[in-house]
Amino acid sequence: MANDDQREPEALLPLTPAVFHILLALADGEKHGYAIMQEVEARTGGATRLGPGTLYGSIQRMRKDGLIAEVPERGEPVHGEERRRYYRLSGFGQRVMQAEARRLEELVHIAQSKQVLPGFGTTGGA
Amino acid sequence: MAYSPCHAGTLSERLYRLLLRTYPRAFREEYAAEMFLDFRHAYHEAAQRQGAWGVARLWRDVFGDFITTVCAQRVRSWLQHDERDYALAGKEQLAMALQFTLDVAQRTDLGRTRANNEDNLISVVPDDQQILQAKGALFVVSDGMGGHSRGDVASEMAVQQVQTAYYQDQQNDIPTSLREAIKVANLAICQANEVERASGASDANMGATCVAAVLHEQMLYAANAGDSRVYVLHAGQLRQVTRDHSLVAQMVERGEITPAEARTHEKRNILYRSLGQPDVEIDLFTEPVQEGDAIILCTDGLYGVLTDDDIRAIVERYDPAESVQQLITHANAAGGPDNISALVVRVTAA
Repeated sequence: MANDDQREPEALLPLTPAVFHILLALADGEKHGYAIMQEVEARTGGATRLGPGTLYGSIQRMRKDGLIAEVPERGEPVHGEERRRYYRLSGFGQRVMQAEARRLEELVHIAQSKQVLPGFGTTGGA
Repeated sequence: MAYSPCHAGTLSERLYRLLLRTYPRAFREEYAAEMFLDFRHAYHEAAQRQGAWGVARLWRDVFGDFITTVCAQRVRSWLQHDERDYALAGKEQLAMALQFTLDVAQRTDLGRTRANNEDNLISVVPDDQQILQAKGALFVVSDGMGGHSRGDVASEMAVQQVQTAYYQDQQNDIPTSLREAIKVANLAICQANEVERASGASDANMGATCVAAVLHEQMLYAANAGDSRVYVLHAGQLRQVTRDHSLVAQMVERGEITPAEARTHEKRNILYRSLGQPDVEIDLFTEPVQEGDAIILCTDGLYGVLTDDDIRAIVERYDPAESVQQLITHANAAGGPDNISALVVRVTAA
């Protein structure tokens, strides 16, 4: 997008967990919706499962906000299966993802300075 | 619809397609095909890896996600005014609202011989004028059936699913929307049976009757499967709007027995249509309604022991709250052999 560079990523923060998960899932390459769902589930050890309405509702908003884009064409359908729609990060999406990661990192620093995590100055609980 | 037509999918796939229809059109056109493919993958994976438990978990997740996101989508589409299906032509339509004031009462009773009450009923008169204008008021009565006292689960699913599916569907075509809401409820019950059977309960076979009525402007739309009824009381005349899907009703229609004989016939409980049968057909009836009319929904626990004339005399004489009380008292006095449910709506000028 032409106007990407003028937008401040911080304006969109904080992201919903679903949006941040989707950005992270797309960080290492384009994926279709089901692959995003599977990656999020695997990466969180099954703790986070994006339901279909949540996933595509987020994708809809993220496309509108220019965080991600649909990949226009992508080879032949795999062994006779229906063609899937793939999504990729935009440059702006990349920067928003980084900004959110920094925001969370700062939060974690604050938590550490307050010694709320074991191993950072306090002795952990039983 | 934007997604590909149904190729004789599994029951789960058919239910999921119906759920997808309740998302706003713009969203559906863009994403329903993908969502359906994802569901199919997830379903096969869950069934392969974890069997019935996996499928049950998938459905729990999908339903939870569906309820929250379909509401969010609907609110979003209203805010953006991008949903032409649901758009209102102008302010004058808003002001029209329902044109009537409704006095509604409902009551269900165990009766005198049954151990459980397997009836369920629900009345919905939306506060939101826009929803009331688009979809009207909804009344549902369901009589559950099935061994192992699961009939109450089936009838509860019936009334809840019909309500949710009816108000989440954004088509303005009320008869279609009402019929499809009952089909969603039916598939949910069939799905629950399928999951139970897959986990070893080979006789899982719960079912329910369902009668649902929508009052919209001056028209009553009634849809049913089974032998629960809708009546309209107009100018002193009680008219049965729905037709029962029971063996005895067929025999009455063929002139083989009288309505009085049907009430005591040994096969009076045999239904040839009810929810819990995968491809159940839903009948639809329309009836104009005027100021002063009353609408009555009930299960066979009521009309099995009271004549149409008994019902008419009570509803004509009392207001809805007292009517439902009296109907149940009289049905119990007549033996109360079954659960008894009655819902009465009195229509008066706005």
